[in-house]
Amino acid sequence: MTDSTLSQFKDELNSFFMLALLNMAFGALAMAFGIQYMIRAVLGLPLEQTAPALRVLAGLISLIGFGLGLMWISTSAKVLKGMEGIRRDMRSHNGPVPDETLAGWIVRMMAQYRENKKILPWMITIGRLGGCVFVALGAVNIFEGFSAGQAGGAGLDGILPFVAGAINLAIGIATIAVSIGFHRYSAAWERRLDESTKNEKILEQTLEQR
Amino acid sequence: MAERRTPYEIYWEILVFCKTAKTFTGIINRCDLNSKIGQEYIGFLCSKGYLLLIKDGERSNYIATEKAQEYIALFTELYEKLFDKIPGFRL
Repeated sequence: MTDSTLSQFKDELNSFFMLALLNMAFGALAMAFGIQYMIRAVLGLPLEQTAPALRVLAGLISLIGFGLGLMWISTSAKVLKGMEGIRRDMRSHNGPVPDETLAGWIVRMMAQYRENKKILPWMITIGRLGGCVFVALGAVNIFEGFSAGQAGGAGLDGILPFVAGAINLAIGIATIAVSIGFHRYSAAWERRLDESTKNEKILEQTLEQR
Repeated sequence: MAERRTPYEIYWEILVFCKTAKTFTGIINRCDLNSKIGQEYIGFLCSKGYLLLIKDGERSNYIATEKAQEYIALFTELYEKLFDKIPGFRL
């Protein structure tokens, strides 16, 4: 075994773990913002001066964000659960890692990927949709800010929509970046899966040689 | 998880685990197999000379043979190469 194989394995596992954690965090934010905006849109507070149509639009987008957030968290949690065991074993291992131990972790990662193969495209799609919802919400916030400004809104009420807009835009962009990360992870493991399928022929020949 | 491994991965897990003598129950528990499937895998490995059944009175243990080392080494090399050959994913 080369040290680079082990360090690459560790890097990938940690990167994936971080991605899944970030994904859960953004999912939770999507839910929280969804609830917050829905309540605000329904009650019409504190932006009484904004157009009702905009509040209805923000409420609808928030409702979609809330639903996506729920799906988002449950799929991320499922993926994270499988990886946690491998990561725990890897971290609790002291001293040099024997080849067979590393191969065992790779086998488990491979099995995890096969297990999550159908979920990952969903996570990528939900992440992108969720990111777009945040970006849209940010745009609506900023539009609300201008609308409130034109209607004579001043002080905190005039500034808050812009702050909320900036936060939503930042979360949206970060969420889309996370979904791109998942896409890259998926692409790398698809290639490994293809390669391992080719390896099966060699392994079969070796096993059947007697 | 068991159904997500290929037969070759399961053979490898059994052989690595049986580097020292192990009971049938120990093998199926460790490799997450049911009794019927475990019997099929162990039977195949015995028939091909990769596993040896050692009977010690009432106790029966399975141990990997010298020949199994070839398969273990090849499998380990091929799986590590998956990380060497394919560009990694990183944040």
